Amino acid sequence: MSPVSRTRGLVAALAAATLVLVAAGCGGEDTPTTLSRFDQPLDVSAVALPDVSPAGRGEAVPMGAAPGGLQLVFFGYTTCPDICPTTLARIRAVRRALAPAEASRLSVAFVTVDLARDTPARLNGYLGSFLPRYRAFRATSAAELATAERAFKAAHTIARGKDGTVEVSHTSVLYVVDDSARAVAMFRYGTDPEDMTTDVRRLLDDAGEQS
Amino acid sequence: MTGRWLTAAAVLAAAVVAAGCGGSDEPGALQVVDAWARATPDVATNGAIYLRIENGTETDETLVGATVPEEIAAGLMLHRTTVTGGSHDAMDESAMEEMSRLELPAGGSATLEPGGDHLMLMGLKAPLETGEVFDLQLVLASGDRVSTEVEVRDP
Repeated sequence: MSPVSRTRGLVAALAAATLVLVAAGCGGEDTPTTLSRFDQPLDVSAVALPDVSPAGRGEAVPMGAAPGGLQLVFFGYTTCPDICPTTLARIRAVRRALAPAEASRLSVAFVTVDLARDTPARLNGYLGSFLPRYRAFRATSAAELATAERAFKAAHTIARGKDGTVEVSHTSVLYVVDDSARAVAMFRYGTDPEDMTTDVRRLLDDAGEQS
Repeated sequence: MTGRWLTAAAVLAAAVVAAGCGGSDEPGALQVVDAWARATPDVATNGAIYLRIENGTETDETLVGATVPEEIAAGLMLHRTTVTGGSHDAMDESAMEEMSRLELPAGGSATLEPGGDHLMLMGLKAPLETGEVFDLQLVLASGDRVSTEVEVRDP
């Protein structure tokens, strides 16, 4: 048992997990699309974090897609064995399924929640294995990260076990941010890559018409 | 957590000879199907193994441990990823929970898949590269051990 689950209650966590698995259709035949458009888009235009990717060179960069494009934003950490690599691999699958002209309008930003362990070198080694281009956002302080998370209604906790293990819980949705730095929708974890591709293509069409 | 989730290369070597690879095809057996691990970036220290266990026997079984060769990883943990539902003011949040055992009911099966249960490889000794194959041994409460091969994939 991890500290995280102890504080939350095992039964509640398992029940929630079961519901999500049923809802997301993991392993099932009829996986519904899990794109959720926000009734009220989240304004993330005030969020600017250092981008430690080779392209960003550590300078603060605001959230948001290029004109007519979309940006996928995910909060995670590089020692994450399951959710983060699965999500990144699915983003890669979406990019590959899109036409080059579409893929070029889709940018990806990863925000690390693990400031202690995720050095710029680690982040780039990790993200670079999944994606040719990305933003690697790494806040310079916990407060700066918390401010960014609040704008996205995101959160994380890091707990250290007695045996030295580190338990990280983090927001697991994949945000879709438009060119006005508004988070307009999200994919819940578990979305099938083909469904995600269909929805991304639709959102890109909408974004292209509006710009 | 017990030491049974740690690597044990010596035990593994013996078991691989005994059980062969990919589980038994005979009906009424407990077998492992489609064991795979996601390829990992060079900098990754952790990985995950996914598989399905089919208990074709008439006896309830329990998975209580697993081992991989020590040149693959320092240890293994059975983990369950839980996603707690989002509310109006907060998004879905995922966490991992360590489990000491996994029930394998008679005639039933258990599936370890992305976003659910997985065997977490801790302290990878080297990146897992697509196409690579390594041995995995599952330890049951009965004392039986089931061996299988894990294929590294990059889906």
